[in-house]
Amino acid sequence: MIYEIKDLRFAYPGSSRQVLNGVSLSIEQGDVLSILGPNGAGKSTLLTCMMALNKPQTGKILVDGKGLEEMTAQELAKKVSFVPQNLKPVFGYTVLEFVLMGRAPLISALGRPGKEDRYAAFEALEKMGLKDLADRPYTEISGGEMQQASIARAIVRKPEVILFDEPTAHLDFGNQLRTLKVIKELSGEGYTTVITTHNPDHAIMLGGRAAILNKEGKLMAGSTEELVTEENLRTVYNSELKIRYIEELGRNVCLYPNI
Amino acid sequence: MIKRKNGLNAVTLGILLAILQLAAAVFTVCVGKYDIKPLAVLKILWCGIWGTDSGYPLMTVNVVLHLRIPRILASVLVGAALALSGATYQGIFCNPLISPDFLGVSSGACVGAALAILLSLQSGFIQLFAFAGGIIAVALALTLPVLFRNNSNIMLVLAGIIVGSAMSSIMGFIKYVADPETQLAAITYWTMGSFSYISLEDLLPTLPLIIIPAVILQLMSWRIDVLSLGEQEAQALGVNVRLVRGIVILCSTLLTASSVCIAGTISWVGLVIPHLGRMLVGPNNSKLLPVTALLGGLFMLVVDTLTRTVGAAEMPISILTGIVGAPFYAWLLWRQRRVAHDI
Repeated sequence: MIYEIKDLRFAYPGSSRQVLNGVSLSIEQGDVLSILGPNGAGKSTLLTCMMALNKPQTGKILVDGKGLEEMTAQELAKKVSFVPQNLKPVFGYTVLEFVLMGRAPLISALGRPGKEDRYAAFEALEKMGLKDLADRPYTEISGGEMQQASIARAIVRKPEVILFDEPTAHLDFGNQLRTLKVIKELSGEGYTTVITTHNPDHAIMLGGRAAILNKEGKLMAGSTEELVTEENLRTVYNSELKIRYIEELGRNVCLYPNI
Repeated sequence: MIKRKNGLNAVTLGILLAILQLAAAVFTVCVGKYDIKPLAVLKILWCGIWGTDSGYPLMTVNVVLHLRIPRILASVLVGAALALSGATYQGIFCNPLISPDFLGVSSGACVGAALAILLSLQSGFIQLFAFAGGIIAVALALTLPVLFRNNSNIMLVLAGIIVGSAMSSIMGFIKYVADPETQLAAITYWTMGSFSYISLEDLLPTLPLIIIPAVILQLMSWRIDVLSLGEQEAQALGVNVRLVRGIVILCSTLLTASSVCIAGTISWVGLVIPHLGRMLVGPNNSKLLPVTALLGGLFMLVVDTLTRTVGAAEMPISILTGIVGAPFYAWLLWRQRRVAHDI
């Protein structure tokens, strides 16, 4: 068991709303977990808590049996990579420089990336199909390419777990599909992957496990088949979504009702 | 395998700037109210180092050794220090619009210096008070977020504004009670910055306070890169954000406080020069910091030479840095319209 989350409660300072209200979840090595939920349910908050970027009021998060509060940022970053939802680049680092920064937890405080780091960065760039963009400022590439670069930065240090915060949120259909494919590939290579999304189809396409976080901050987890049902979706999204089996695709899909 | 577009550029540019700097230094020793031939300068310098007689009149020797060379050294050092601290602040706070005095260093130093002038202390004390004032102001600005239990960048920026305004009010009060005939003029003149009264004896104690932080910042340049992606990003990449930010703030504060101590407050350099550096070599701090320091030194040398050669009387330096800096900054922003738009 790589992540063990016990009875997590979180509210933002100065707000009375309990964003996470007793969330418990365990994630096994090699899991593909999709966390579903409506906008504002706290999916991203859960991930930031798992990355120790937010501190829960109560509850415990263990990574490989060790409490997050006992780990340094460096220790955690060696095991877990975080792909944030949207990057706000201020300075025009090249795509290569940007990806190299993913090696930070492996490099000493006064050090800088060496040959091995560069090699790993090129490998990651090649894998994400970004090799030709290596010298381009990452402020000048498209949103889809930036997402790829961000994933390259996450895998460049070969972590055990990758947390993706809404990896498909700002992408067009083609890029959404490519990103999901990459996530599935990474999970095939043994990475434990966790994504947040509000699209039930993405959870179905990735298969594996799913969790639903509702507006009350409660989380339920299970296999995708048993969790992504019309009934559950109705309560979570407060609308009559349909789940239909499509022969051609060989899987269930989630459809909107008529408006 | 790795073809870098601007890797070599940074090194070549650095060497080029260093040569230019040296040439400018030699040239500026020669110009002024009292013209001296370059050959004479070199000979005086040579004989000065060995302690032998150069055969030139004592006044020429004094102008070179005790007036112009200390002044040139000071202007290059101050320009480099201000530009360097501006570049690192802009990096760690992910904000290219921040200048080195945003945590209140300069306003604190002004209050310190004004206090020393008000108490009619000697010039050495003015420097000491200025340095202490700058450090105290930054310490205050760093304490506020701790009290508010919110250590984010934006809180630090706001704390800097609070401390800066408080210091301005104290400054106003000191000016109000100061003797308008002598002290007020001295305070006003000091706050506008000048290299006129520099001596080697004043300059030497501040030298380590500029060189050591500069070296530390250079060593940490890659961490500064990572931090410039944003606070949360850097933390998720395993960086001890508070530690790195603390060290960088300490170094930058020492740099700025030392410059203020040497020459009073000088505006614009720390804000504008880093942009020029980024335009030339990109944001990568391991290249940007040395190039920015060289550019800052060169810029300050040129501007200071202008203040003492243009016009009948010598001008306070901030007037010229403003006149040159503001349009230059506008031009830079126009050049990087898209980037500026993103901010």
